[in-house]
Amino acid sequence: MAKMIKLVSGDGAEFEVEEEVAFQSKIIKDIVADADDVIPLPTVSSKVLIQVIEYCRKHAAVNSFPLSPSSSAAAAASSSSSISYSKPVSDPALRAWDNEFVKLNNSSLFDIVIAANYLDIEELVDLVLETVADRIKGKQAQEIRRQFNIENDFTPEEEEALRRENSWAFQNN
Amino acid sequence: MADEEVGTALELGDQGAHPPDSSPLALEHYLPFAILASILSRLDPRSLCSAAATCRSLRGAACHALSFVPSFNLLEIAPTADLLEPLLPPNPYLKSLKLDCSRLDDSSIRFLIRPSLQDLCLHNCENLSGRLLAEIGGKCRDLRSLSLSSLAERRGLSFVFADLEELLTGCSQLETLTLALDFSSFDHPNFGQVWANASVVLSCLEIGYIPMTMLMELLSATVKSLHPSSPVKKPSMFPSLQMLCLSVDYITDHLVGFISKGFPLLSSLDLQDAPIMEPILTSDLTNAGLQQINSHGKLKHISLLRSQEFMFTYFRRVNDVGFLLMSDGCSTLESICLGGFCRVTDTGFRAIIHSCANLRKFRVSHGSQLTDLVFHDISATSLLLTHVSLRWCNLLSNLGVVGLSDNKQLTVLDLRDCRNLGDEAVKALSYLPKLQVLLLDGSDTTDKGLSYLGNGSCPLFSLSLRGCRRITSNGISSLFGGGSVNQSLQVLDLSRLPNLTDEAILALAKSRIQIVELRIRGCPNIGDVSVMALASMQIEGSSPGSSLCVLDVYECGLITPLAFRWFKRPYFPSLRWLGMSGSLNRDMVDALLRTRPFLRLACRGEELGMTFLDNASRWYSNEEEEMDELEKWLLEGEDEMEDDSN
Repeated sequence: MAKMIKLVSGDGAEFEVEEEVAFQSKIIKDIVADADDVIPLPTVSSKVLIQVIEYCRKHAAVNSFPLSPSSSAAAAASSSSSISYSKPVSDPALRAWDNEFVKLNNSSLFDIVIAANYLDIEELVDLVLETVADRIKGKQAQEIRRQFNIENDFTPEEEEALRRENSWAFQNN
Repeated sequence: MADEEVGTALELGDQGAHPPDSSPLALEHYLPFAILASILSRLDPRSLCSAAATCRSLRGAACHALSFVPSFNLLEIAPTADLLEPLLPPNPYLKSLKLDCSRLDDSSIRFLIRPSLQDLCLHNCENLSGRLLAEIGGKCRDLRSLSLSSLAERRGLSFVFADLEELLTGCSQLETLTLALDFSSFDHPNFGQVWANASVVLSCLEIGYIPMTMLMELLSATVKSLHPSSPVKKPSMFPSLQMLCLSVDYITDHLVGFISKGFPLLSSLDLQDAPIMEPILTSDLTNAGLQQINSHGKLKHISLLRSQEFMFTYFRRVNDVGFLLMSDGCSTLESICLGGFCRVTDTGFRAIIHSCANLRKFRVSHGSQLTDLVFHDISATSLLLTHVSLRWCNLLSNLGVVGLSDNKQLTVLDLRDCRNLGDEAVKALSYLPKLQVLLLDGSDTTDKGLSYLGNGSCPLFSLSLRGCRRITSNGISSLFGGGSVNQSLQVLDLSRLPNLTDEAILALAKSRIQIVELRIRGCPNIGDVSVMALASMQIEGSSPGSSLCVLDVYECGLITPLAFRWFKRPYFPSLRWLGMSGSLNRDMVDALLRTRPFLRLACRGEELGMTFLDNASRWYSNEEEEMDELEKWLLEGEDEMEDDSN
């Protein structure tokens, strides 16, 4: 009875999902309105697509009311000019599920956020960005470099200048 | 979950060792610039600056992020304008700004005050003038919440009525206004009327000190606006006010009556006075005045405090009758603070406790006639007290505390200066499963009491034993015996303990608890060894170095100038407040301040406190407020964890 949408990943694998699950992605919603129900996603690998679909399935089930004019109006309002960080998920069970979902290593998270950004799934983008931000909070520059394998491309002079500028933020010399 | 590294890759270290992909990722090349900037825009200023210092790409992303961060809260240090200005570029999305302005003056106003602001909190504005108020009124039309303290306190600066007028008429959306200032400077014939032009949604108003004449002008104008006698209907003043907090000359019946009449929606009232002369009958609070409290039945919190800061005085004209009358109308109350009701006996206090079924917070200071009987059958009531403070209640003994400890929900307990409390009381308290703050200054606690606490089950976060003269280092060692205290304790006050030696501090350091605030002022037997031990404390699971933010070693007998070398970097990396006897060596003090410009050094014995706990609502600073700050911190702690890093 539920309309199915077919998503094709970058490596050719096909995934059939219910319409309401796929419509968590605003891009997909727009495409389906104009074209057919097979949507190629060349930039998204199967592995990532599986995870994204899992998220969408969980959130579609929880927000399971049909796409009403009010919800699409709310969606339109939230993507207006002002920067809006989506409100934290209110349902504690869903929040717990989200927290488990993002227990991944950094590269997996980055793949997911890039895909979610491409597919315009706002809540998932926010969730991953918050998670990554939490991994940076309270850390010193050296720790952050280690955590994310960042290469220090400052010259020694620049580093010294930075250290002086930000002496209040640094705990250790 | 498809990814085989779930759960193992959260922390730093070798998360890149066994990735499913072939090469270790590099954040700055992996994610697009816009996403990087979006991540950084969710960070507090300090983490953002740390991230910006990692590589060029992140630095660029950080600069971009600063142009759309929604909030900027930096209360842990007092930045200079040079440091701050690059961090506050033009940003039409900045809604919340919280700063310590000790090192800023009027020239900073142009980049601080902007039209997008909705929430503004500026502490320590000593070097800013009244122009700040006028500018806020002129530019911040959308402001919902404003909190300022210590405005224009430096010699030569001032603020005037016109500044207040511009503020009130300009910020028409204001919901919360806290001005911890002396309102005498705003005296003007139109003072009462200007509030008629203020925001109609103002629901919370806190004023530092306001002279009686000005206050009465304001209140009469308010009451008159509710019952207009003229045919022309003018809107009522303060139509939405729910919270009011004032410091006044005298709390009088007249005042209480006006407040009850003028603010029908009031749910929270804080009044404090500190008389310099004994109040006469017509300007004092009497039993009749107490009857008028809560005449509209909406009050949830009330605080009436008479401070003894200037002279020994109390509410002489209030006795049990007044409390009995008050208790009739106060069943809605959830929080009560009563200070200086020395004539009220157990009868009065019990009347209050037993008629307020929803009471959660109960605070009495100078309850000279309060005895154990007040709490003797508290378990028979359905009361779930969470915060209790009984200060200078010298008739209270161990039995009363045992009765009080039937309240298993107790979270904060302040029993300072109750001289007759001892180990039996502490034993009863050690079983409380939710006790986080325990203040026992000046009590008769001994080492035995500390061993009860050490073996007990309280998740103590803050413990104060200031002036408990019988405590020795053995007691401190037994406190860290390995019970729940070790996991939770962060704030400890061991000041003025003549028998405390370096052994105790060594025990503290060995226990590796994550101590954030330590006060050991006035301990004659504490010396350099303690400083060294604290400096080399290593905490599990984080970078080496002590986690101390506040350390007070003022007038510690055996500390010598040698200790100064332990305060240089890299020791005490998180230290923000330090109390030392400055007479030790002026040169070394100056040298220390040069290498640590953001360290707040107190050399004259001032009490140390963190500015973000600055309780701007209390004008007469006395030690009673210490607990309020801790309370507030605890209560707000859950919310702020997400926003600030440490």
